Amino acid sequence: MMRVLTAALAIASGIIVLLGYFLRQAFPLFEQLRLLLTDWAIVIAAGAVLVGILNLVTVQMEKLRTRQPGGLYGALLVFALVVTFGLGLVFGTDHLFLRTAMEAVIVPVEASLLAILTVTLVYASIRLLRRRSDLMSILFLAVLLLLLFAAMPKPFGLTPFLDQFILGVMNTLSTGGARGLLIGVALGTLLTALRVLFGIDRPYGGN
Amino acid sequence: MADIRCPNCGKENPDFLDTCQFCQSPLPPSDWKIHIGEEPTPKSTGELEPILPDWLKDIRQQEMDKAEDEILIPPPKPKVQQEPPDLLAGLMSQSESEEEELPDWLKGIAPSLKKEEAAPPPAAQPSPPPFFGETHPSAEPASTGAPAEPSADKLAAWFPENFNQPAPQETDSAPSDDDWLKNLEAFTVPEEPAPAQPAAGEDLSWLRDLEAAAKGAEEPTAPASSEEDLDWLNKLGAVPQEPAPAQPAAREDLDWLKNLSAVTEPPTEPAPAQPAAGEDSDWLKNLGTSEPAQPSAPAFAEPAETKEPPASPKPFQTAPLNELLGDEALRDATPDWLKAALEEPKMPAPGDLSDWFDRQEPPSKETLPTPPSPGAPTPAFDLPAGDSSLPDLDALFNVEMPDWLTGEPEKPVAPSPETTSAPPFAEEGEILAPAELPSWVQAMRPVESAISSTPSTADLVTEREGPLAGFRGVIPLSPIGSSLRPKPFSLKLQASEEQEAAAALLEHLIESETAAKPSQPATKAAAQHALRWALSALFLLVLSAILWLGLRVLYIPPSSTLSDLISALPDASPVLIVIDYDPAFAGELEAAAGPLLDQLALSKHSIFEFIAASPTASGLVERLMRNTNLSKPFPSGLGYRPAEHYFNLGYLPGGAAGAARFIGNPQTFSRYAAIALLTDNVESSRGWIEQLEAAGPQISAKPLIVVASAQAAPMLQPYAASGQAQLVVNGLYDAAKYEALNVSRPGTVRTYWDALGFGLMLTIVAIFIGGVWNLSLRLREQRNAMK
Repeated sequence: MMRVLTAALAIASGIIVLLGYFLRQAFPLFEQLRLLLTDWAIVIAAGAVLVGILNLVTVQMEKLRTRQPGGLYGALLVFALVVTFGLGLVFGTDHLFLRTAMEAVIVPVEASLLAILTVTLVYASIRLLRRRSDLMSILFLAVLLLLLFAAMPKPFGLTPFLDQFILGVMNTLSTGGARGLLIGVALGTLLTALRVLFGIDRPYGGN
Repeated sequence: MADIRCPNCGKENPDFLDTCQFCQSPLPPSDWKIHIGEEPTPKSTGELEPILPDWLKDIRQQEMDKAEDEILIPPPKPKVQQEPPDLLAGLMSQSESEEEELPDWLKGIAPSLKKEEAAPPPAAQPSPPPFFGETHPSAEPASTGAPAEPSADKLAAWFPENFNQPAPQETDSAPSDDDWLKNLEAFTVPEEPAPAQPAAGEDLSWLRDLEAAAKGAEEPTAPASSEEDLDWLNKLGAVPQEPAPAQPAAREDLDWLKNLSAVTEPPTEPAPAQPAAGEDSDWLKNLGTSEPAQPSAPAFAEPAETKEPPASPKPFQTAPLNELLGDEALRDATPDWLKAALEEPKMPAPGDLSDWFDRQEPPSKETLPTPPSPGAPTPAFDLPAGDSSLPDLDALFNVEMPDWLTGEPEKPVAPSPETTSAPPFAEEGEILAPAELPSWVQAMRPVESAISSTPSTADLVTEREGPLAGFRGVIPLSPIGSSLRPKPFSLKLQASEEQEAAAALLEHLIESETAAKPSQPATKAAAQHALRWALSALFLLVLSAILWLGLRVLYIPPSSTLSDLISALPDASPVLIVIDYDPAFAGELEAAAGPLLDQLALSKHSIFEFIAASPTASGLVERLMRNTNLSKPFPSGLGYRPAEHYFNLGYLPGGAAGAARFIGNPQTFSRYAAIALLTDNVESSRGWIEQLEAAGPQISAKPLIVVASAQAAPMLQPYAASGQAQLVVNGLYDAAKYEALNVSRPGTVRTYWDALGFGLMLTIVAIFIGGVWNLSLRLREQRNAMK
């Protein structure tokens, strides 16, 4: 019974949203229903964020209780979370403390990760031919070096022929590939939507 | 022909041999055992008597001759043993057979026997054992002492004369061995005449011996007969004779039979002590202990008193037949069957036995002995002198008394086709069948349990293999009755070579998977870490030096695309700025969005409304405004203040749904003059672009400027190419061009531009040098490996 009910609700919601998109002028009710359902989805998504935060706290506290390795870091994480969440609730997101925490902790940490990623990628490129010295590896490194050289700022500016050719090829190939990916993503999204509407896929459970 | 394995040497021997032809040790009969619970099969071997081969008869004759010879010389040990049990087996049934008649010789010997047969046996009265009833049909207490050694010359005359005479009772008996006979008198004292018990058996050789001895007894060979073993016959016949001198120790086990007659004779004189040592018939002493012996009762009733038919008298002493050959009177009186005994034996020596078989003619009817009449009393035991089978008889008595001896005589059993035994030796290619033992003989065979309880060394099998090889009497290694056991199956897996190879390969694969991979040398790990640290240090040093020095040596090509777009926007109009990037990309996107925000704030005085598409993005608004110099006070900045010149709308949850819902409100969204999307995420930016396009033509007509990081820009270029986004700023590279055209404001991109250029240059050099070096190492390793 629940299986049928959940499927009926999911299919009805999808159909109403679609009708609200396509028949917003003819049937304003569907538009209103679409916006209502969208608001519910946004609230549920916001609640999911809180559920995610609660799950994070639970997992870390379990690590601390069972004295698992890294439990101390979990305790520190939970402590920072509680303090930040409390201060945000009390003083708002524009408070100096929250801005300092953002700019002094979060942004440098994540930026340093990208810096490490840069060094790691360079190191992997250097070691690539040591592990795989086949033609594809050599071709990959050659293309990489050419693109970096073409995009690299030069003291004298872009070279008349080489840079234009390289950047033109890069834009053409990258754009074509990206477009193909996007079309594929769109078709996949459409097919997934149809499967959900027809009850074939039930990501909401009840299978 | 079945073979018999010699228990001593283990070699196979023909079943007709009684001794091993290799080691001369006695061979056990093939069917000498009777198992527990096995009922003896009643067999009637009386019919075997008529078909006895001549050689067997000759054996008898030969034995009689030997008995005669033993009078003078000690009897040699025969090499071939006869089979008296088989032959004796049919005595009883034969005697009980009414259809058969007494042989002529027996009629002549016991003329009154036939008359006595007419008397029906009393049903209620227990009949005496056949043996004694037959051997002592006219037993009565004798007044004279039994001679210890009867005279053989008087025996022949005694036979026809004393059948109906009371048997002389021997008063004195052996102190030990004749007790059983006394006990047996309880069975042998019928007051009424007992019917003549037909003695089963077709072995009439003993009568031949008796007759021959009787003939020979006419010769004065009494002294020589003192050494004869058949002296018990004299006692048995109860012929009044002179007391015999003291007998020496019995040479054979049949001494108890010597005393047998003493029971029937009145103990007129003390009999010489009979040494009983070494005898095997001690068990017979207690045979009648359950019923006290009646010494007064005669063991064998007198015919006059008991009115029993005279049974066949047992001849006890016979004279050597050779001595009677010259007596024509005796020759005429000698029956036909006995005449043959006087002739030379036809039986060849044991070594010539096979040849003799070949030459032997089929027995004619004339040569076959006349089957005895049913009522003819026949001796139960054929005891020729020097018979080597006497120990076997002892063995028979050691186990159990036959039924014909202890109980009612069995009724004659008609020979059935199944039980009709074939002649021992078939003629003309007939298959020799094993002799079928009568029931009483089967019953007399040693019981299996009794055998197992008294094992003999000859019966024990010598172990031939295993750790106990050479020992005798151990449990055989080979299982007994292996046919009943389940066949053993080898537990070893039967696999072909291919299967074994596949199994080995699989095992090798599993071992390679489970085996710990050898750790790389520490030198290599240290080298890799050093390289990483070297690269990090190189990049830090170079980029830090460039930033610290503030180099602006690299060329930036200007671009007016962004300026043209911004110039089309209305003044002081609100602009929606979507913050959709993580703090990690804050440096890149802040620099990339600087020229856009600076031109909007500087030329159009736009009001910025920031909305965050990620939870952390809302905290980056102030950082963005500060790093782009918008929130800085004038003259270093534009003096934008929050809640007056820009608004932080906060976090918009729901992803694409939130964007759709935010865009779906046309009244609030239509007031934005332009939408700027600062993103490093392709998915979220795609949702925003698509939702703006789906919001309707009014909203989709608003200019959308996408400021993307270098990693997300290539994926968003198609939207710019399709017109859904008016402009896509591709990281620092495009931002630098717009900034260059914007009089290098705010100048953030320019600061990073040289560092970006030198950093890319350093990266290209490091990858190229490191790649070539590693490639050379790889090729060298391969070259070395090929060598």
